[in-house]
Amino acid sequence: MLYPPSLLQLIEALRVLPGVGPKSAQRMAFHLLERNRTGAQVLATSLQAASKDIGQCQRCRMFAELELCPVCASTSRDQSLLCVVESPADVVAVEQSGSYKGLYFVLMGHLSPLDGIGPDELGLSQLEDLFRAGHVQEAILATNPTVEGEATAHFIAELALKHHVKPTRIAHGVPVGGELEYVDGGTLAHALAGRHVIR
Amino acid sequence: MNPVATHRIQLQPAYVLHQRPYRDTSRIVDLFTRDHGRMTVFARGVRNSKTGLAAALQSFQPILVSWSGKGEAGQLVAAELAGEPVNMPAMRMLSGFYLNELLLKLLHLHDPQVEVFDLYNETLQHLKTGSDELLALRLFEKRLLQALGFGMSLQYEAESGRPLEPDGCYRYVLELGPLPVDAIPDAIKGVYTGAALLALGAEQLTDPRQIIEVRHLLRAALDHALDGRHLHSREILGDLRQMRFSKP
Repeated sequence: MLYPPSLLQLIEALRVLPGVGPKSAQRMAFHLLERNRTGAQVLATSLQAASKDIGQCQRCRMFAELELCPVCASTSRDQSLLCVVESPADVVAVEQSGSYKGLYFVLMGHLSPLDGIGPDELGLSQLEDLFRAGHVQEAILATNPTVEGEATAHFIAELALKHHVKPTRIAHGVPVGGELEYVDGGTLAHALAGRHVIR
Repeated sequence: MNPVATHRIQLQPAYVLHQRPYRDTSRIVDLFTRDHGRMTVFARGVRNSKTGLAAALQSFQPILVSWSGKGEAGQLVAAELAGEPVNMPAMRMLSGFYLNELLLKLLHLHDPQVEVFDLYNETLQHLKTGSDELLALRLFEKRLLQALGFGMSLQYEAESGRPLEPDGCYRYVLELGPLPVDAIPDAIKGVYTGAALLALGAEQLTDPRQIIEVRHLLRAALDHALDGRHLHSREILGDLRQMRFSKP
């Protein structure tokens, strides 16, 4: 055997990362052992801490260390706005846009009846509890513009209406810096349907 | 030249039945093609592509696909829209998912089913624009079963061969046919009115009560055809319906 068992185990373990095959895993392991043992220690402790301590926010299902995530715990956010997104990465994307100051709800997926993903998996009864609590005035449905995302948005809109919360859908259209000629028909149709008056 | 050159199919009419992410940016796509039946292809780099591939690979819209390779799963080379983009109303999409799951579970791989393809196409149009969603689903189920060799006998009694009477009452035995019984019609128990069976046979379902009645019969026949395989979408649709109609 070429490798000691613990090195072999490290290489195997690194392969849980997306896009990492045996070759890359071996390169990473060698790099950590040859050049950066301190980095390896930091990586090990942070992996351990994160995998043990990080759970879900009780309110919005975002990653959180405490009962509430930093966004939900903050007092400066607008409690009447709730942005519903599919994944934690979407929360980060919306936050980085810098134009949103409300709260979030993370579905951790979208309705996908063929995969058996329905209301229970998406925490929709938890979302309904938020609507029921009465602080939310507007639910911004920011699921992806795919058929599954649209079906999800539509269903949540129905739930929102049932609880007298105004559902809105994010606009889809031509990307900034894009050219109409290269935009697909579906996007262009949405962009035309969502046109607005220039003031 | 290699004598067994990998074949390449160009611009084949198709619909996306289902897809799942694969690795970072690729997808595994289940297609229903007109001339090659149901098949699975790998679509590389869809999720970050700027080519509009992701937009073309949406369910419920007619597309033209090109792929290469033999065996179980080919490589998707191109996909483009062959008509209008998805304009299925969001509330009808759940029914669309149900159709897709039926096709995914009942069609064999690489088995061309042109008739079913046309039926699917027609049913999608009906879901998009038609008024009666439930009727469209029942007719799809009936014709799909018929096309796949699970057709039902809806004109004559099974053993005697006598024509069904609209006022009669029948127990439907799968793989045999309707048998007259002296009972009160109760679709849940598999006992149907002659009128509902005849209406389904003639595809003249106009009475909403009959549509509900034949739903039970078609469900039993589909379960038989599915041979123990579970329909996830049926369950999820049930959960959603319950949530939709529960008290605020």
